[in-house]
Amino acid sequence: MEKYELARSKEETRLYMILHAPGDKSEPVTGSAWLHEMARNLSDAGTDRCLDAPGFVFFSPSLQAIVDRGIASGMMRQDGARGSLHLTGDGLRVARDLWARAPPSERLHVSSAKEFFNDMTYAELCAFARAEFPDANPAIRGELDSERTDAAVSLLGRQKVSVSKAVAISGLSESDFFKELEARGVSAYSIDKSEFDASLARIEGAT
Amino acid sequence: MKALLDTSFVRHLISSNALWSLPAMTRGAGWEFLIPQAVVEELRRKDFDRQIEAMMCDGAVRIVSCTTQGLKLIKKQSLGLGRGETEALGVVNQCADRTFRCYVILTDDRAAQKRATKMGMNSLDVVAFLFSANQIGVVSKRDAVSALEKLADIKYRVSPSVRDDFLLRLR
Repeated sequence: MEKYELARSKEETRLYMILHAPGDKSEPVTGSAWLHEMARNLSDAGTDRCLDAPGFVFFSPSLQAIVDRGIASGMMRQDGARGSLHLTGDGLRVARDLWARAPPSERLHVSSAKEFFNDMTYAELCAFARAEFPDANPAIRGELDSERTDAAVSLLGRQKVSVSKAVAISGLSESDFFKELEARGVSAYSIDKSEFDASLARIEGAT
Repeated sequence: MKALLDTSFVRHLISSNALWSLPAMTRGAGWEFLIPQAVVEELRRKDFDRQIEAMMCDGAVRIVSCTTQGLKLIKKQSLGLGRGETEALGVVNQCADRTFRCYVILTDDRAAQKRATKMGMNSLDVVAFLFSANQIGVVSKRDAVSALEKLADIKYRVSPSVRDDFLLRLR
């Protein structure tokens, strides 16, 4: 076990941390696509990645190899071929140790990424990835395009993305996206009483 | 107070003809307005060059940038935000005082506000900003009401209860 830990790469450490986040309890990762997108957003540029089979999201062969090894060694388990990923009891013990030893900033970044992606639908995840790299997945055609606006509106409504990011996710021009919001009875910018009161409380506390 | 300007906030001030409230807040309340480089670029792409120049000429607003390392760090905590909002958070995050007490991020974007709150930073939307400016005597009741009406014209949805409270409490 000690040798195994010494040999653990940064990518493997991060995988255990993602599976362990947010730290107080271990939450499964929704699926392979979610895991790869979390890892991509946490890693710095230069790691190997390509498109997954449908060509919707990024996929890292080296990360997948680590996942496969983790499953084979009984540290992780996956529901189906690409379903939710869990730590086993043995995996959880390793993850707890790695989590405790990680710098607070790393724990924060991993938790943020997991919270951000884990409750997205697959369509939202794909639309988000495509907006980040609009030219990177030319394999995608109309199949995803029809879902991009729905994904953008949903993510905006849940305050997961900003208006500018939602526009990018939709693939529409800003004015067309605003028209689309209006047609759906959604305001890009709004304020209700609780938000107004909270704003005033924040500024009164600060001045 | 150092106030970081986000694109949405500046656009709403422009639309409500209330850009003048920035130098007024500097004169009347000592606020210092900072605009991230990414926000300047976003505004220029939307053809707001003239308004940016006006803000700079007044000396009311100063352009700031976040370091590359600072941006890299903040990006991992601000997934889902645009470049302008991310840089605003990054500039505040570079502050040595981790209570961020001297800073406020001026944004009308709910996701950016939510992220700022989570990071322990203050944020303010345009309606609350105009209200606060009125309360400290920088923006008149007439100007505040006019700005609120113009915001409604551009589909900024202000709930009836906010509108009532706003109008009732203006000085």
